[in-house]
Amino acid sequence: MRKIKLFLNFDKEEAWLNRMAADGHLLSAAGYSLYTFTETGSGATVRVDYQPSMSEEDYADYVTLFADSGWQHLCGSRKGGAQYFASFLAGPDADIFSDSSSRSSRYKRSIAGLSTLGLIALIFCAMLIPHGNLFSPHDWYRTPGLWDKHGLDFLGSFLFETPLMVLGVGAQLFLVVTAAFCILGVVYQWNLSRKAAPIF
Amino acid sequence: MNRDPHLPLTETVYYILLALIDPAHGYVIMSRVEEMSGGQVRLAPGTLYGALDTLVKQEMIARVPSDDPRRKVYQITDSGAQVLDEDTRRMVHMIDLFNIHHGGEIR
Repeated sequence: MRKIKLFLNFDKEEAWLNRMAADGHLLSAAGYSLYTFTETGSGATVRVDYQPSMSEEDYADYVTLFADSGWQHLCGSRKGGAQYFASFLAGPDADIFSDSSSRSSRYKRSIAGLSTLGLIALIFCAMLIPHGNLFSPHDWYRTPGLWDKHGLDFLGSFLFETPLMVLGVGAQLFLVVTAAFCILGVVYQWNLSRKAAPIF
Repeated sequence: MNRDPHLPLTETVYYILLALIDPAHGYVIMSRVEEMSGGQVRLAPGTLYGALDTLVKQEMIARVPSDDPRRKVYQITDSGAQVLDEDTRRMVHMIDLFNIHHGGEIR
């Protein structure tokens, strides 16, 4: 089974994955908000960590430490991102963190990842948008005199350029949306990390 | 003398440093800490992994060679041992004060 969902809140993501597991659907692959589940009979508790890109040696050590303490690695990329673990023996309260400050540093690592992506998107925005046509829709089609053409001549030119227009404008729009998403995500996760680790 | 900026150590860090007087990998550290604390301190893997990472950066522990390519082995460094001593002195001082005021009786 596949599902598309977008989470920035790890606690809500865990709660959803555990509801799915309770219904017999255990996570088997995740990435870019696409979740794949396999059917399972045994109950499991699923937890989410977030790690930056690691060397092969570091990643093996990381996964083995979790495995040694009863947490099977379900999925996640060595190149960085969310890491998903399941425990089949411990109860529903079992956790991969034993204090609130390490729970909250999971958000700090994710914020570092989101900031990097956001910064890259912003740099491309700054380079491409001033020379682009995103904010002037009458320039979206660049064929000279397109709007003065008639009949089949117009339709031919119009249809010919439409895929190019969609690609060009879409790429600019994608950059703007990505940058905005990263900035909002950083603010949201910053608040979550502060709530997760109260000083007193 | 100025106090080391890492003091006071958290309970977690104190136990990890104590467990690493002899070399150990992650799971052995967890077992030692649980045993030493009489089952009071149970480190979860995500928490231990982050703590080891931080302690390596602070040069209080360091990796030592091991035969197991999947499990990194760590040991306390000289500066880590110094911090551990200093924090122990801090706590012994507080216990001495407690004893003076309460005549050595824990109520």
